[in-house]
Amino acid sequence: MFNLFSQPASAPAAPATSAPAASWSEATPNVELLDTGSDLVLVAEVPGVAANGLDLTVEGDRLTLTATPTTQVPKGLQPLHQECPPRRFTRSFVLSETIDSARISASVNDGVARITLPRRTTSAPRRIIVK
Amino acid sequence: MYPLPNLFSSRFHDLVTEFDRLSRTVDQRSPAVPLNIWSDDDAVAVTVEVPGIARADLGIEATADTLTISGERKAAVEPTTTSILRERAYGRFSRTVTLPWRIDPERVEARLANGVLSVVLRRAESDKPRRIAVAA
Repeated sequence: MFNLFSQPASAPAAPATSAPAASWSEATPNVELLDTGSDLVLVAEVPGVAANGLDLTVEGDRLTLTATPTTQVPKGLQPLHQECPPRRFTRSFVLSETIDSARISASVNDGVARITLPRRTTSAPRRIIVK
Repeated sequence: MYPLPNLFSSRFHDLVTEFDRLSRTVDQRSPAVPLNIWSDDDAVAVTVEVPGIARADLGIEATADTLTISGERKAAVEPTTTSILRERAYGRFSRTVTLPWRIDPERVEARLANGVLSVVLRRAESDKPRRIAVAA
């Protein structure tokens, strides 16, 4: 195996690449939104991103996804043609009041993040007795 | 003083990438698989973004001076779910790149990690420049 590709850095925010992470551009990931009934599922394409490179924050009703790829810059080689230069993925979403933000969970597989947004469990309708 | 040329080029790049994303969103017939090519005098590396595509659904073919990467992104069958928003493209794709020189087909390495396919190809010994000794 030719070891031209640097291994995933332990700290994803500072990958060991020829280009410092601070100079990376930001890209908007393509997403898909699915409704399973009990949950909404947000699927985002974040190629090059491992689980430790995915960061999700909820502030008020805003969910922000930031995904930093582990480096894919081949050691010692110079770029000849670039369609997808090293970049960070970021996108924000406004959460509906029906989403229980305390129970949001996420996973990353094959460069695809899957974020589960559970709906609040609503209690059964309650009849009010009229006196 | 602001570094205006840099500011402009960065903003312009943002605009181009956003336009690219939107055009891919509109054209959903096949997945866009952007790639980068890196090289030095002896090796060329091609990195292709293939998020969500299984190893078994990828094909890599190399000739003496071309590399073809093909595959298919299959839509997951989730009958109980309803799609609300779909920006990802599904289906078959194929990309062929012409390599900067002839390669040794026996020395091609490919690796798939986190949705990025990396293929490293080595220059054929017969293709490397040869120094000619000048006779006295």
